[in-house]
Amino acid sequence: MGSYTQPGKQKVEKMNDIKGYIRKNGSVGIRNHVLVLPTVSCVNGVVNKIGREVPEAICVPHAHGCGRGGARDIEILFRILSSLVHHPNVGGVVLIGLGCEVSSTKGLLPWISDAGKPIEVFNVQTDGGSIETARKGIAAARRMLAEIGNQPRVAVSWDKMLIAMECGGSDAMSGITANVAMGAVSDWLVKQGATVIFGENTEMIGTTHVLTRRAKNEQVAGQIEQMVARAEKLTQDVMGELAGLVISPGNMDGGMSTIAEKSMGCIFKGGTTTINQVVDYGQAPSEHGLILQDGPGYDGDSMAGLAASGSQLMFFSTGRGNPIGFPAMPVIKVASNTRIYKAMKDDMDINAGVLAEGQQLDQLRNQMIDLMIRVINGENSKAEANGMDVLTFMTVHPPF
Amino acid sequence: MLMRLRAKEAILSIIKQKLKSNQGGIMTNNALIIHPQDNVAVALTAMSAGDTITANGIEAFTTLDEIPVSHKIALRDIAIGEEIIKYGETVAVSTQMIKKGQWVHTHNLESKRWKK
Repeated sequence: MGSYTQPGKQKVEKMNDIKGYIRKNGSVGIRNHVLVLPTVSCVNGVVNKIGREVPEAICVPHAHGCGRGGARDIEILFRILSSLVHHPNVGGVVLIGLGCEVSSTKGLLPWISDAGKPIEVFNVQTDGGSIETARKGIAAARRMLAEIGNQPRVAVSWDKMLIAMECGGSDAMSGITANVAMGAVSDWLVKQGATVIFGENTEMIGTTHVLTRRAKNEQVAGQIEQMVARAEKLTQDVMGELAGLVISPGNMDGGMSTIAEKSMGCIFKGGTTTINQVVDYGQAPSEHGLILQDGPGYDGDSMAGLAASGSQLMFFSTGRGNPIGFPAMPVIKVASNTRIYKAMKDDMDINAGVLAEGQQLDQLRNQMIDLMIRVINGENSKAEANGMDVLTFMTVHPPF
Repeated sequence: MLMRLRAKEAILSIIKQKLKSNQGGIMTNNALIIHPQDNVAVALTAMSAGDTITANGIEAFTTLDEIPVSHKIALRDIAIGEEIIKYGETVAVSTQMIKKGQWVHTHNLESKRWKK
């Protein structure tokens, strides 16, 4: 953080240096994980078996891979799976396929052939069944861990960092303490040249006028307008007369009087800088600064989209207390109130509730920046240490 | 025995008084102003009418209503039709004359977007 002045002290130089793993395509990882990824839910058991034998590998069962034929669902499926292979925090991949699924290893190959990292591929139907495939996968994961284990961390610049901001399990204080503090961190990151991304389009409803005014140009403003209008229409189509519950009686009891006020509390986590780009769900930004993602509000689905965009790290505010993490991407939990911070102290990294107890925003922001730098440099966040990884992502249509 | 009890009571009452004066003495903020342009603050504790509001960068003033925790308090008088500013942005429009220190919620504002 360059430097900041502490009350009553001289300007103190703070260690701002971050180190990571430089990938062949120039991206930077803050972890060097071996990822064991199933292409389809049918082979989750094989992946779980590998996970039990090789706990150092990140093994991520999921519920996707087949059964949905719509073009949009297939696009999302291939984008998310291939983006996890490409993810900068991943140093090597063991891909476990079945053989007859939509996102088969053969189909994925063109999406991942340029990943520039070791990838080993096995298919249960042609590699001797589940037990034999697990055996091969275990050997491959161990081989890969040894292969990439010595890769050194080197000094990297902030412009290589993409940091995601997410809120989930929110309470009335989320938009007052935690998201305000995350917004201050977002502004700091953008100033360092980093990129900040947040999604959850349903939580932007009512703030189009604010977001479009902050857009870099008319094109971006137009994209924001369309994105929020779509989210609003979808909410009304799906919820019908209940759409008004987007601002619910519970929200109102918490002091939020309008949808705009509620949404302001959500979008404030991205800070106050110019919005430089709107990207599709799971798409990687090509711009720096603040980026919006056209993705859903449901925590796990939103996290997958933001991770697939290449986010190396995520801040996640919560007031009710959500322990969720994400495979290979450290998640820093920011409690919006002291009660939940204490009640779930093994899950919470930061207590933004201190803002309600007289601590200054600057102090809290600096504490969050210090922790972020330590996590970037290798310290585990709570969700990461606890292994709270979940992979689930957005779908448009029900399976058939 | 009686003397001892009286002494104990006296000591307790001194401690109580001290605690009370300390509470008044430490200027802990009980409200938060999120953005310098805001015309409302957020209550960090539940307040009764007549309580003193302290928040960063303002002179202490008195609440006119009961304010639930995390609800809004007017930082200045707000005219009918004036915008309610929180997060430095318009979040609603007032439907009544709101006095400094009054509770600001759905009874005296409306959504600019979705009318009540």
